[in-house]
Parts: sequence; C-alpha cells; structure tokens
Amino acid sequence: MSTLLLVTVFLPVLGLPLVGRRRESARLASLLIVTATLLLSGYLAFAFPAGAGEFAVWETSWVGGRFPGVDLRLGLGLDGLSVWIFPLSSLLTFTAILVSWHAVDRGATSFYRLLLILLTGMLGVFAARDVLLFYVFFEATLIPLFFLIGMWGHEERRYAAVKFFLFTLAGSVLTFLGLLALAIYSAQSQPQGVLTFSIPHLTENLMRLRANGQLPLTVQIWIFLALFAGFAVKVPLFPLHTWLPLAHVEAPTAGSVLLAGILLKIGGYGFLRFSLPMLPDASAACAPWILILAAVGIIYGALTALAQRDIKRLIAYSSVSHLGFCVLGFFALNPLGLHGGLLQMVNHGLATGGLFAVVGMLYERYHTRQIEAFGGLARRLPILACFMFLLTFSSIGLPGLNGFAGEFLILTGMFERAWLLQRGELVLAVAAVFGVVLAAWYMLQLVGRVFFGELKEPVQGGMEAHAGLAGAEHVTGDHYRSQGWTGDLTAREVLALAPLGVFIVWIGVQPSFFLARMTPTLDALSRPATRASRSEAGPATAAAEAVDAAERVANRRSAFGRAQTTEGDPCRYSAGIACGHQNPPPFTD
Amino acid sequence: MIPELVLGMGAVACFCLGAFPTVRRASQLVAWFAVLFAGAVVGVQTGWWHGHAVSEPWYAAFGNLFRWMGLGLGLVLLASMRPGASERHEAESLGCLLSAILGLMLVGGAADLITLFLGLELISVASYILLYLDRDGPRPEEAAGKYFYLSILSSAVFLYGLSYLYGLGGALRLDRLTHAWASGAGTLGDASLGAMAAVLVLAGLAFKITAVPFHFYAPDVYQGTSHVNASLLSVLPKAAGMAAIIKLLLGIMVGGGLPLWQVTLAVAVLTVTVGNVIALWQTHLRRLLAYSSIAHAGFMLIGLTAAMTYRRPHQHPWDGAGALLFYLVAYVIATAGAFAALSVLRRGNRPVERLDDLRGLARSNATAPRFIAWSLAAFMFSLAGIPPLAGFWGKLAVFFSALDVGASPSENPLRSRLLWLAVIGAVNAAIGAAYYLRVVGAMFFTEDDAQDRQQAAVVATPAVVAVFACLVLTLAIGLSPGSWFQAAHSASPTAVPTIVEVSLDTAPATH
Amino acid sequence: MELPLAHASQIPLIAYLLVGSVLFVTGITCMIAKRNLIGILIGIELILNAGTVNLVAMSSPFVAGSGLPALDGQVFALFVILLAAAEAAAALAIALTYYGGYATIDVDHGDRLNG
Repeated sequence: MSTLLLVTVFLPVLGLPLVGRRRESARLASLLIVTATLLLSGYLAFAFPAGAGEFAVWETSWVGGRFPGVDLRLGLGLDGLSVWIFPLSSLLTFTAILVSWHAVDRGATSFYRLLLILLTGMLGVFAARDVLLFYVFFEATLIPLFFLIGMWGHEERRYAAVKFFLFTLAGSVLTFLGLLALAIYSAQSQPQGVLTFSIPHLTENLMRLRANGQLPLTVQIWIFLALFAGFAVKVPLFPLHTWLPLAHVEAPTAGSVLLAGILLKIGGYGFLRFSLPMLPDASAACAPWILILAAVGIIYGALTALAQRDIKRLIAYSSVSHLGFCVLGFFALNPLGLHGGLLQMVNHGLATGGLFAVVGMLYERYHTRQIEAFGGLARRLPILACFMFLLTFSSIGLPGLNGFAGEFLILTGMFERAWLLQRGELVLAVAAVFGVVLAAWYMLQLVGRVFFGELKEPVQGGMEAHAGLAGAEHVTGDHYRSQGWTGDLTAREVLALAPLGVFIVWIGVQPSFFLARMTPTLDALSRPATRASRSEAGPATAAAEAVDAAERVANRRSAFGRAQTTEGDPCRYSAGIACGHQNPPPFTD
Repeated sequence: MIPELVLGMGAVACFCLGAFPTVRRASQLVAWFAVLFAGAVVGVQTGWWHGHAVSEPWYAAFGNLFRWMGLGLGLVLLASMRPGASERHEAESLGCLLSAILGLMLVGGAADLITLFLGLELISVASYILLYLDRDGPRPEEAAGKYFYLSILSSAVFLYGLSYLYGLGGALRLDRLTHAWASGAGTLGDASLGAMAAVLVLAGLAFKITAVPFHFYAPDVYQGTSHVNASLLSVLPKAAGMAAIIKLLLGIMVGGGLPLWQVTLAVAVLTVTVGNVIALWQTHLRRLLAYSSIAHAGFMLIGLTAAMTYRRPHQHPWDGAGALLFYLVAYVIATAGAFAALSVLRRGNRPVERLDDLRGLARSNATAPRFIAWSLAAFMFSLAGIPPLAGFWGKLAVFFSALDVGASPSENPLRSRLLWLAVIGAVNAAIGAAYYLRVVGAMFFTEDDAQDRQQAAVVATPAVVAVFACLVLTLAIGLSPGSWFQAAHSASPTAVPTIVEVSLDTAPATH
Repeated sequence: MELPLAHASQIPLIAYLLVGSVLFVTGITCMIAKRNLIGILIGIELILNAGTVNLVAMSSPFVAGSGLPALDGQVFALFVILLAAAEAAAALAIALTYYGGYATIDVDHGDRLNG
C-alpha cells in the first residue's frame, strides 16, 4: 500500500516524457496518465479503513543520511485529513484535462506537462508527512500554476499570474519561518537535539513541551501568526483575498478548476495539519478574531458576488464566501465544526471546480462570460444546464446534496461554540446563516438569468466571428469548434463533469461514509485545541463539561471497538442527515 | 598546491602565447587543459569529494570547496567567452580568467594574510584587465575606470585594516591570529584598535561582496561591460570576499570580543533591502542582476550575523557559516548559469541586454531558445528561492541559522534582533521574487511583437553546455541537498571547537 | 648584540602608526577632492603606503614596543609594494583609454552609465 502511494504521487511526473510533441498525442497521453493516477488514488482512498489513524505510510531519509543531525524525510502517508482531498486532486485534474481538450491549442505539450507537474505537487502536499516536504510541494504547485495562468490565461493574465505568485509567496515565506520555528522548538524537547521535521514527531514533541510548560502562549501566538500569514492568503481569508478573483478570472479553465478545487484547500489543510494540533493554545486564543474574519469574508464574498456581471468573477467571490465557511468550521474548535469544515473543503472542490468547468464550456462556445449576454440557455444546452443546476444546488447547500451536509455541520458547530462558550459569537453564527441565504440568492439569480427567460445568445465579437456566424453550418473542424460551435455537451464534457456529480450526490446522501474516515485523525489532532478553547472561555461551564464528559464516554466506547464511527458528535448529526448510515445513531445510547 | 601551480602556469603560458600572433589560438587549448588538469588533480587529491565526510579540519574542506567552486566557475566562464569577439586579446583574456580563478582558490586555501591578500588582488587585477580588454560592452572605458578606482581603494583600505589585524595579533598566520585574538594578546592590546581593524577589513571586503554602502558601483559596471565579465564580477569577487570574511571576521575577529554582529546585522538588513527594492525598477538585465547580486550578498550576511551570535556549541547542523557557504554555492551556480544563458542569446548581431529583448523567447519556434528560456526561468526561480531548486535550500539554511538564535528558547540576549533579521530576510525573499518573475514573465507571457527587431536566436557555443550543466546542478542540489549541506557544514569554521569555546566566553554581553 | 641603529628605537611605535594614519587620511582626502584620474591614483598610493608603513613598523626589531621581531610583516610590505606597481600600470592604461573615450581624464565626465 505504501509503495502504491509513492507511485501514485510521482506517477504524473514519471509520465512526463510520454507527453509528446503533437497536441493530440499530448492530451491523450496526459489523460491516460491522469486516469491511472485517479484510479490509484481512488483505490487508496477507498481502501482507507474507517477508524484508521494513518494509512499507507512510506518513509525514507531525504537529507539525513548524507547530513547527520537533520532528520529530513521523504515521508508520505494518508490520514483522515487528506484521505478525500488526495483523490479529489486527481479527479479535478482529470476534469481539467478534459475541459482543455479543445480550448488549448498553442503550446499544448507544455500545458499538459505543467498540469501533470501540478498534479504531483498537489498530491504531494496532501500526502507529505514531513514539514519541509510539505513546503516544497506547496511552493512547487505555484510554479506550474504561475505558468498556466500567465501563458494560457486571458487578457490580464500577466498581471494576474504575478500577483497570484507574489501574494502566495509573501505569505508562505512567513509560514516557512513559522515551520522552521516549530522545528527549532521541537528539537529543544529532545536530549540529542536531533532536528526532526517529521510532522507526527513534531506534534508529539511540541505537545510534550506544552505539557512541561515550555511552550508559552506568546511564543505560540507568534508562530501561529507566522503560519497564519501563508495559510490565510491561500484560503483566502477576507482582507487577503484580493489576488483570488483576478487569478480565477484570468486563468484558463483548467487553472481555475484546480485553483479553486484544490489549491485553495492547502490553506485550510495547513490550519488543520499545523496550527491546530501543534499550537493549540494559540489557536484557541486567536480563534475569536479569525472567526470574525471568516464571518466578514462570508458576507463580503457573498455581497460582492451578488454585484458581479462576469460569471467567473461571481464564482470566484463565492469561493471567498464558501471558504470563509470552512475556516469558520475549523475555528469553532469543536468536532462538529471541524468535520464540517473538512467536508466542506471537499464539497467546495467538487462544486466550484465543476462550476468553473461549466463556465469554461460556456466560454468555449460563446467567448464571453458576461451574465447579461446570456439568457434561456436551458433550452439550447439542456445537459449543460442540468449539470449547472446540480452544481449550483450543491454550492448553495440544498439538502440531499453534499453542500448541505458540510454547511449544516459547520453552522451547528458554530452555534454550539457560541452557545456554550461565548454567547457574543452568536452574531457570527447568524451572519454565517445569512451568508447561506445570500449564496442561494446570487447563485439562483445567476442560474435564472443565464439559463431561463428568453433565449439570448451572445453576438460574437471580431470579424472572424461574424463570418463564422454567417456561414456557421458550413464551417467544420477545429475552426468550427473554436468559433461558432454552440451545441450541447459532448461525451467528453459529460465525462468531465459526471464524476463530480456522482460524488456530489453520494456525499449528500451518505456523508457518514466520508466523515467516518476523517474522524479519528480529526479528533486526535484537534483535541488539544478543543480543550484549550474550552478552558480559554474561563471557568468551564456546566454545559461544556457535559460535552467533555460525553466525549469521554464516546472515546471509551470507540476504545472498546464497538463502532468505528462513534467518536462523538459529528456522526450524531450526520446520521440525522444521512439515511444510509448503518450504525444506529448514538442518540439512542 | 599542485592545482594552483597548474593554473598559474596556464595563465603565464596564455600571456606568453599572446605575444606570438601565429600561435595565439593555442591559448584556448592551454586554458581548457589547465582548468581540467587542475580539476583532475584536485579530484585525485580529495578522493573526488567524498573526503568531506571524514574528520578533516574545516580549513581543508573550506579550501576544497573553493577549489571546486573556482574550477567549476572557470569551466563555465571559459565556455561563455565567445571566441572571436575579442580575438585580438583572446589569449590575454584567458590568462586573466585563469589568474582570477587562481585568486579565488588561493583565498579559499589561504593560511596566512599574505596569501589571502594576494589572492584577492589577483582577482581584482585580473578583472581590471578583463574589463579593460573588453570591447564588447557599451561603455567599457567607463566601466573599467569606475571598477578599477573603487576596487583599488577598497583593497587599500583592506590592507590598512590588515596591518592592524597583524599588529594586534602579532602574526601573519591565520591560526596564530585566531589564538592571539582569542587570548587578548598582541602588541597593542587596545580594543578600539581592534574595532578599527575590524571595520576597515569589513569595509574593504564589503566592496568585494557588494554590500551596502559599497554596492553602488556594481550596476554601472555590470551595465558597462559584457555578460561574461559581469558574470565574473558577480561571482568571483563575491565568493572570494565571503571566503575572506569567514576567515578573518568569523575565524579571528569574533574571538576578540568585538560586537561585530551589530555591524554585520545593520549591513545585512540594508544590503538585502536596498538590493531587492531597487532591483524592482530595473529594465536592463545586467543592472537587474547586479542588484540581485547585491541582495544575495545581504542574504549571505544574514547567515554571517547568525554565525557571529551563537553562544553555545550549536547542536543544529545549519549553522550560520555553513548556511552562508551553501547559499554561496547555490547563488554562484544560478548566477553563472543565468549570465551564460544571456550570453548565448543574440538579436541580430546585438547581444540581449534589456528585459524587452527577452520577449517571447519561450514561445519561439526553435528548440534552442525555448531551452534557454526554461533554463533562465529555472535560474530565476532558484535565485528567488522557490523549491525544489538549489536556492530554496540556501534560503532555508540561512533563515534557519538566524531563527535558531532568534526563535530558540535559550536565553540569548540577541534573540529578538535575530528574529527580526529572519523576518526581514523572509519578506525580502518575497520582494525579490517580484523582479525575477518579471524576467520570467517577459520570456513566457509576452509575444515578440516587434517586427523591426530580429528574432532572438541562440548562438551555438560551448556556453549552451555550460547552461545545461548549471541547470543540472541547480536541480540536483534542489532534489538532493544532503551531501551539499554536509560539504558546506564541514567547511564551516564554527564546526571547530576552539572557536566555539572562544565565542562562548567573549560573546557580547547584553543588548 | 647591539645594532648600530639601536638608537632609532627611541621613536616609539605609536609614532609610526600616527604617520600611517596621517597618510591614510591624506590619501582618502586626496581621492575625494581630486577630480582627475592621476590625482586619484596618487591618493590610492598614499593609502597603500599607509598600510605598508604600519606593516613595516609593527614587525621591525628597531621600533620600540613593536615586539614582533619576525620580519614577516616586512615581507608582506614587499608584496604590497610589488602589487602597487602592478596596479599603477593598470591605472595608467585605464587612464589612457579613458582619455581616448572622453578626451579628458576628469572623472566627472564618466557618467554615461545611468547610476
């Protein structure tokens, strides 16, 4: 299994030489490589046993063998945090390649090679078990995306690419310092002072330091802020989001899909992987502020989306809003919110990735993304419209689809936190609910305008386009496709979107299947922070103690191995959503 | 000493051949042979560089590191020198190149002040003559004049500082000086004279490494000369200056109890900031790379400052001096590679000089320009410190060394300063990325829209091979930095127990 | 064994060092004040000689308080003198080309590189 993980991560890069010079062979070869990667990563994810901590761990020394004193490893492994995002990366790359089939004609070889490199970067980020390896993959995703945006993007692509790169880099260099500081502190706890960068060891060492009182809150907060700088830019949290709409709008469709679907998740993943487990006290102390930023981001993103005329820009701002939800869930610092946030990251990847793909398909047909240029397309493009509706409903959290499960858990978690710990934060929870309403508003408005009403198809600009319109029936081949082709989805495009639809429905009807695999890791990683947030709120209230006690009971039960999914709260709620859950809801206990 | 002798004889042979027009062409052969033969000798002597793992003293590893660096640079620069461009002075140019490399190797291996000073001067004199001989650049006489007068001034100031260093330590040999400074003995046991010596030495060397405020000549001189000379100026004096700084400041003067870290900290912050910020506005490629080289000197000085502030025998292998050396290696490879890549590009019969000249290079239909574009992009990303390239690990080591003091829980009174130093360095790394991205953007994101200008083309010279070699090294170090870290670490003087003890006793008190 | 020149040791080392520092300051001043290449070259020679004086005085057995009878500083000084000669040759050559390019050796004219 562990070798399989290694192969999966590096398969796209190993396949680079297969991507040939000609466009047709290049895209076919890359599609095959990505399909193979997708199958492997899907197999790994579904072989992941529910209730397991880590899975398919593969490690070897990277630097240490030649450079004693530094324990730097090439370590890969899956756990509850990465188990779903990992295959999602391959899935969305699969979609990205299919949607670029005709859209990319210049420099196709480089394009597909960059996509493959990007895929290895994304898989590596989520599978890395070593801090520096994580950072290397994290930064290594920037380079291909930088080129993808800059070379195949739209008019402002150069500016967008540079802004995207610089924003991310500026944040991540501070994150880098934070990660190094974590390693330095961790080395203090070991008698030999071996400098380890292995994430599990770091967590363990830092927890030992914390237990001995050698990790004071001020230090934690400084390191937390350093980490926060990079992750918050990546998420992006409210004041740091300005690069995102630009990058999304200017990126080629494949770039937007992957940027929204996967790369934004690295920020949230970083919070879960590093900030919460390694700096629990600082996380608890900073949580109120971050929650405010997240809530502001939710409302701000939604309101801005409401005002957009460009479809891509609208979806980009909706991402700001949705990722605010994820962060809200994380920093509610209770199991409900954490499960919801993590699930919502996957949901957002599916829904928004899909939405960008659909917009790309529209753009390929009409060469515009202006909302007012369209109308009544449901009649003209029924299959495309169906997918659009599914993705939209997922995005606004219609019950029965995946978005509902995620948002519901997040909001419940937030209300629980606000109710038990800090009543003032009820405002934020209510604001988030308001954000859900706004999301429904702008998304349905978009769908209504573009797909319903009178049929309105954009007049294509430029001399060639007019010529194309005049004799559209006679034009054939690539020219026909690129200029005046307005047919419904082809089999290729359906193939690009259908897997997303399958998972949207599956997560919607059976979230417990997905949540159960997250639970053990999430609980282990977030327990210190959860505890810290409860003690942060002053003398523990009776209710908080009750929750704690309930959690202990749940732990004991899972320790006895009664059920793999009964680690406390999330399944209690998800069982309420999900009909397909085999275990009786723990309510009955 | 055999490799040095080989190079020296090669240089003399080149100069002699230059006197006879009929056999002048043979100088190419002589130069290549000298460098390769010297490399073979070094290889045999050091067991092809597995010797660093065993317990050899740091100065041996240090010398070998600079020998390899010098010989490698020699090959790259030899390959980049276009035969035919300065045909009349080809033999002399090659001789000067060999002497400059010899200078670097001498500085790296110097065990006393005379060798060190002569090694530095060998580089300086050779580069004056190279600048003077170069008729390729736009303003050769002005570049040569500026560089000459400022360089010789710095040498004179450096010498004046050395005279006090000698007087205070009572010896020319570096190891004796180390002990003398550490024990406070010397002819003139006066702290103020020690401080003066340190400041003068640092000022002299700051010129060589283009540290602020002695950096201002670099953009003008680089702009005024050719790519190859700019390459030489941006790597050889910097490497030699860093070697001298490690040997003199870190190896000797830190032991004297002077708060030298205050000076280097200020210089590091200024250098890294000035270099990166001013580079943002540059459109001339050599000026841009000049400011980039200034900024990188600043990053290296961060490592130096960290090395000066350690108070305990460090348990962590990324010590400041090792970080500096690793950074230097990564910088030298990327910079030499970048200049070599620029030197093979032509538009018509004009060299590529401005950012605009690179437009659309990556979208060219021919393979060679695309290869150069991707290589140049890799060098830019390496200089910007993006993983998985060599420059990233350099930045990692440098920031780590500063953070190791700055963020560690120990009671080092300097920790907050070093912490901020690391933060400033990190922010500058992000600023620096901006102008490297402009170079990449020009090559990849713009079309070559100018019809009146000729397409950028690649002149097939050995320099293409040099570019390829630098590219391979940048990637190889990036993917497997372990043994390179070890090489830099074993060459780091802070690995020597005596010096660590010394700085333990006499580190600056409280600040 | 008394050397014939032993009476010279009445001059203390600090005096030599003062001479050196005067030379140094004069040289720097000269470099800053002079606008012509030959003048600047003279200033540089003065600074180099300041270092040489120091080296010789510090290692001389005839100077009171030097205490470094090793003579190696004087060897160093010889090298420096050699070097100064080499650099003077280069300087004159550069001054000549400069004159060729600008028809003057006034450094203020060398400002065509934007800097």
